[in-house]
Amino acid sequence: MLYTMLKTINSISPFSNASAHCDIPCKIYDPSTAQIAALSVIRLTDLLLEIGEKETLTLADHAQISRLTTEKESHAEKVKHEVRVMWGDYFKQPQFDVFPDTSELVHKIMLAGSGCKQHVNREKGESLLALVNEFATRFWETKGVKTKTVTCPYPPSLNVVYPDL
Amino acid sequence: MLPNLCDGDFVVSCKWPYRWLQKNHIVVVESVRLGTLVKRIVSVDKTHGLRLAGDNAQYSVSPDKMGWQTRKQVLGRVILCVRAKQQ
Repeated sequence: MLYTMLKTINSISPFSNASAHCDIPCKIYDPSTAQIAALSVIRLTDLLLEIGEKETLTLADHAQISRLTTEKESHAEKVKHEVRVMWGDYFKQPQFDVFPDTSELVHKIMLAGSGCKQHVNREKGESLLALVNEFATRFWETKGVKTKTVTCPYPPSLNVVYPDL
Repeated sequence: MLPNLCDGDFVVSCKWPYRWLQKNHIVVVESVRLGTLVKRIVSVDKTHGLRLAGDNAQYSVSPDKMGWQTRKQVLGRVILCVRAKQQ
């Protein structure tokens, strides 16, 4: 009865929410979202560089630069977010025992992600992808899943670590 | 905080004198990084504040990653939990 009463009051005048953070042990973690976001950063960088090669820029080009830059920023942040969540929520002491320098790797990914935001530089994007691939390899290894490195079937057509399921 | 707190539960918290907070009390804190949290006190340090942990250790953010929660961040101590009705 008390619960029903509180629920009714909450529906009328919502109480504040407090999170117990990862109350729901969903166990759904997958580095592929970070890897796809890193590939997107590289692709968006390539598109920006293509526009940069033009001798003169039209209004449409300027608008496209704005859109591409916004998306590059967003996807670089997505890489950082996805990796941060997995590092914070999935990696526990048993995983750190196997890969004790994981926090350093994550820090490198954070720096690389920021570098991709700040610059229009393909090499920085490729470095980001390489670091995320390393993170993915470690993640799957902690789960006892073998990995394979395959060229992704879409631009920028770079090597990506996939679980060999 | 499973199994002691489940998704949908209501908790009633009230302001509590900081000096009366003890290990194993459940508190509501405002974390800059993680938002409003309900966690259990692991330890109380006069200088640094509170170290908190979730009851579901395997899936909770560790006390180290949560960091110290200062006195100002404590919104209150949980004094009542009302469990959600099971559907």
